[in-house]
Amino acid sequence: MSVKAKQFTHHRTFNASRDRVFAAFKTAEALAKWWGPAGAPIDVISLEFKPGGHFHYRMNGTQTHYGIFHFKSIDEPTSITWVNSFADEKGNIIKPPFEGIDIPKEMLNHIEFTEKDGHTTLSLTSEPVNADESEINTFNAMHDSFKMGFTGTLDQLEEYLAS
Amino acid sequence: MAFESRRDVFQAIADPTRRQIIQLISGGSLNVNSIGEHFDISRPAVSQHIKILIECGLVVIHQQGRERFCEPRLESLREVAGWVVQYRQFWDQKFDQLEQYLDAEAPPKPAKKKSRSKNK
Repeated sequence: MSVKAKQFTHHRTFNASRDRVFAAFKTAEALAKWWGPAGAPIDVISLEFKPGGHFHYRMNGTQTHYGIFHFKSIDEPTSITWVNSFADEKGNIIKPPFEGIDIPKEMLNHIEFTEKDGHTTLSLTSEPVNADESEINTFNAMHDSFKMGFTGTLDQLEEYLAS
Repeated sequence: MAFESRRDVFQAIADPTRRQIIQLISGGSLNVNSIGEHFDISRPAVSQHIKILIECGLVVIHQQGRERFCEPRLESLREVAGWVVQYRQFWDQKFDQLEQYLDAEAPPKPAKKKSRSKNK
């Protein structure tokens, strides 16, 4: 029996043209400045911005982690599809370094770029690929709790848990 | 139903009625009857959801006089809630940094509107 993963969706509108927003995904210089943990620039190990290419980077926090993109399709300037994973220093995909919970190893991300009146909206969908049933169930539970507005009550829940 | 045999926090929150029950009791214990009043479904159906929440470890029942109270045990949700928030935060943080990057790289704007050349 196979379990189907649900999609996580998110979006953001930027005060910039589509070409400029898209360009921020294209070069190592740009990605290094914004794709990384807060306040910690990443080191780009390699970048091949083309379908079948990859982007391998090092995240320098209290602990060093590596991540990798495998680009599946690129349709400039309207969409990018890639698989994002944690990696080792050689670029091999590894399990996420979090304990106690089955997080999908590989997330398939798809971003659509749409421009209107000089503003560009990024619409993201994200779902696990090559995940086992346990990983998909985790992801689905996470997805559902978004969908039903459960997060709206999280503050209340946090307060309860903190008390 | 065989496929409902999972009993963990994910099974608990996989159903909208159960999420509502969790929401209701997140502020403190509630008696079983008053929980039932919040739903259009039958009492046995509500009881079934409460039973699943008990089996998932998110609720304990205690008797007070003639009334039965659902007491929240939501600690295990912290992990899930943390994860939900984290995944969204992950993307918010990326988008925040992208925004900052775009603002920093923005082409210089004309200082004044008047200085723009007019096309007649």
